Amino acid sequence: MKNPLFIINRVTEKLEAFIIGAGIILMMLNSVINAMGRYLFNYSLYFSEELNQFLIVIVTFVGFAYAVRMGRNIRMTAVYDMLSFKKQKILTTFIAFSTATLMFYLSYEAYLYVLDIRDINRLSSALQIPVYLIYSIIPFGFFIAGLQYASSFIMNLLHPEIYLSFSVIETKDNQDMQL
Amino acid sequence: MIDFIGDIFSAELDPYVITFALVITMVVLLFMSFPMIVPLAVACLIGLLHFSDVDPQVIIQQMVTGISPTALISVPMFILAADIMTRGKTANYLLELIEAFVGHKRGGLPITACLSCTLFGSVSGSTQATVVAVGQIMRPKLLKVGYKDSFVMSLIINASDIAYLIPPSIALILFGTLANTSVGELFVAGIAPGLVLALLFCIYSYVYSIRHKDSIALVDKKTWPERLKAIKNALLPLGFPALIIGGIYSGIVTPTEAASFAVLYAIIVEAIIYREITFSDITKAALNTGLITAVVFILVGIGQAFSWYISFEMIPQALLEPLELGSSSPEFIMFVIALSFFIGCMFVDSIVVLLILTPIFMPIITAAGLDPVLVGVLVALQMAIGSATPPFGCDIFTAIAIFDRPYMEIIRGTPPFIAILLLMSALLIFFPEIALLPRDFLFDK
Amino acid sequence: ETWKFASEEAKNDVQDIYAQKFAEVIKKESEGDIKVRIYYYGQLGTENDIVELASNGTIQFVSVGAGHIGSYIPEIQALSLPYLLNADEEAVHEVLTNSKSIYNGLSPKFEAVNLKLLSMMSEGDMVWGANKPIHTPADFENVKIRTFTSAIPTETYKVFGATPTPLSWGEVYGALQLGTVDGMVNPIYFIYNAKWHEVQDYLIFPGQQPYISTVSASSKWFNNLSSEKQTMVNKAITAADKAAFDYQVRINSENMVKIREESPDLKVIVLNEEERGEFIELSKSLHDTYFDLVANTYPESEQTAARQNAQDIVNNLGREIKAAAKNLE
Ligand code: NA
Ligand code: NA
Repeated sequence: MKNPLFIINRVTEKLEAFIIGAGIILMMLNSVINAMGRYLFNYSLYFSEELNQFLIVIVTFVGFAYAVRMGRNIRMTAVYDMLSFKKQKILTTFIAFSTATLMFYLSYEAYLYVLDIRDINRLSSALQIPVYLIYSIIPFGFFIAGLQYASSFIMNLLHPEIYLSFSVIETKDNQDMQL
Repeated sequence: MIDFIGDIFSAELDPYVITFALVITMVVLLFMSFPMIVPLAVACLIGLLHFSDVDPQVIIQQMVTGISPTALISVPMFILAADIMTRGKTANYLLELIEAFVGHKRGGLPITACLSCTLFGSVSGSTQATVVAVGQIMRPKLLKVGYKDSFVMSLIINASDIAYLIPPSIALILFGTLANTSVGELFVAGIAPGLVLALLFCIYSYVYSIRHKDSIALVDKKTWPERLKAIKNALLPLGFPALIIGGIYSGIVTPTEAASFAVLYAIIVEAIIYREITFSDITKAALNTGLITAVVFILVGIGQAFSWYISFEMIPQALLEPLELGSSSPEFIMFVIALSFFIGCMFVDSIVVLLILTPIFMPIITAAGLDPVLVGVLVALQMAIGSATPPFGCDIFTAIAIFDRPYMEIIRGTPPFIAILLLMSALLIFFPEIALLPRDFLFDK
Repeated sequence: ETWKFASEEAKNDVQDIYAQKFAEVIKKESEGDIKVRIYYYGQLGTENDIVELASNGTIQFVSVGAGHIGSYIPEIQALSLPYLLNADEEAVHEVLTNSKSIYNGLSPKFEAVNLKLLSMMSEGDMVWGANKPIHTPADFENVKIRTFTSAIPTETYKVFGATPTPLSWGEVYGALQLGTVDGMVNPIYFIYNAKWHEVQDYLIFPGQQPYISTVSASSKWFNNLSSEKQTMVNKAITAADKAAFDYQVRINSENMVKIREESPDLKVIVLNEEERGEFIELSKSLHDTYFDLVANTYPESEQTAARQNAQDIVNNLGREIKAAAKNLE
């Protein structure tokens, strides 16, 4: 399975994982350094709060795409669990298709939003950097989530199993979440 | 009815029509088992595009706003700290200590879990962080001796939410500012109801463990040398709560920053002192943390977008108008306030509900001569209930993400807790002294 | 027809009073045809959110602190400079409602973000809270003071010798109570509403600057209004300016009385002229900070002009406030 699509998929997965992990570690360092600076040296990082906000935006939207890839999503399966395998499969396929559509739409709206705040030149208050640079991650996050749902839709059409994402097959264990 | 459906399709800008259409959309999509972001996003889009003709970009803007509050940073930080501690030895040492002292008593473990949640929640200020930190450590133990998972998870979620009542509570601080009420008085008034609630949960835990005593094992009573060994082992891990409580109450760190120090402490203890985890364990923990955070925060964000729309069309105001609260009895007004917050918190994050509803109720509270401190405590209690009430409960989502269990299993155990919480609400409305006596005593009223 | 007006403050704060008066006049002038729907703090998101909502036309009017507009129009941060608009209330009001350098000079900048600046108001003099007496910059040593995150306020307290510490306001009460930070800065009426006087020992009046907020309209929308309706808006703005000014003066003094009643141990310090002089001297260097800040938001080729423009704004504002003060004598 060494086709280009597979490789791209692996590379983006690794990249996402790196961004998420690094974002979380940076949050920790940022807060710790700020508090130590304030208490020990009477010096606060004026941008600390803002940096954490940026990091949380990045982690949330990249992490969302990553969660979709891993087939981890919060959903209520009370009714779903009562259906037959065939009906579950049809429902999952339909959900994958419509959720993909929604994700692409949100990605498009996010893209428009990013353009808007670029046009009005919004600068962050502490670091004075253009905010759109950070928020550009949002359309990407939704787009990748959309791709994941779309490929799960296709996998469900091509294979007999129920696919939660491109590479995650539903089992009894991961009906709601799996890692 | 036909007219009503007609109104929905013709996008009649009527609060009842909109509410009906959005709630139905959400419930249907939810039960079809769509990913949780879909019901909220679609309901929001129907409101924005179909009923109101507002640029849907606002969804993106408000998602960012929803995840931006500084205090939210403590959530991933406590998740990470708990993850590192459970990968290493810290969590086990703490558990062995608890077991050494209460493991042989009926209800000893769940009562310890309940009190730990109350304490940790009060100090950290974050209910989600509490679910993670205490839950991650206590849950496996409770399961091992035979408690049902649905009971354990509900206990952890609900006991964590007591944090809304006990200072420093972000709910009471926000209410104090929005309602122009002394935060100090609110803090004092919140303590007793918070403790009564913790006590009621403990009693329920005890009763539960008696009723299920056939399936729940007790460990043998430990000898004192065994207990001393457990204490010795737990000394470093106990530095963890000491660091958080001490750091916050001495003013060295804010509650938000304390969470990051907890991570640092966990890393130092596990990686450097115990040499139990490696750098690659830490990166794995960070990735897992980011994943759980994202799953929950994306919903916090979309919830904010949904409530933005509700707020933009001033729907709560319109729904409340016919109740003519201006000329009602204080008890009825309190009941309506409690009910409104309760319903609001079912669908949207508690803090967001607070921001939307408080300004709406304030004039009514003032006009009726209600004590805003009492209302504040009642509201904080509803927020506590709301965070654990389906369908939308941040702490439910956190539990799903962290414990990796189905939605239904997590909420199956909640009814008894909700009953207790509602009982507490009634107590507050009819015996406001629970909250007000300590306040009156301390503030000479 | 419904117009939407969002402010960054809670119900019955100064900006909300402004909005209420505005709504009242519009309703009366339009004989009930036009309703103005008012949103307060948090209902439509953050300060930045409501500015952007006005910019894209989702709402028609927005009221936020000048500092927040500074995220889009850096020039406006001249209003955040200490000891530039430190005059009598009436003179400040005069400049804020009529300043040529702001209204004419900055109108293309506002236009570029699709806003039209309608008015500005003072919400009262900024007061320092602290847990020790502060008379001189030396007293500020090791004092952690909570400020807004933006550059000018942060630099101001650095220059004054304090440790500026950004904190979101939900955390301020607890942080003051437990000593994570030692002080904060805000107008009296707000300090009372946020109950921060409960957790401070001293209130210090430095005679430094008022908290200034702005009222803007969505510009494309406003420009397309009939001239009749534009006149209506202007009339409502004039009435609201007056109402907010009177209210601000009243609520600041009333809340000061309440603070004294509720916290009898809290001590109040008013800096004398000599003490103020030391801070005034220090704040001069901040003008350069401001010029740099403005210039840096432009591409290299436009920086010289941008810096010159910023200098003009500061000079003109200084001139305008002196003239206004003189007229009042
Ligand atoms: Na608390
Ligand atoms: Na809820």
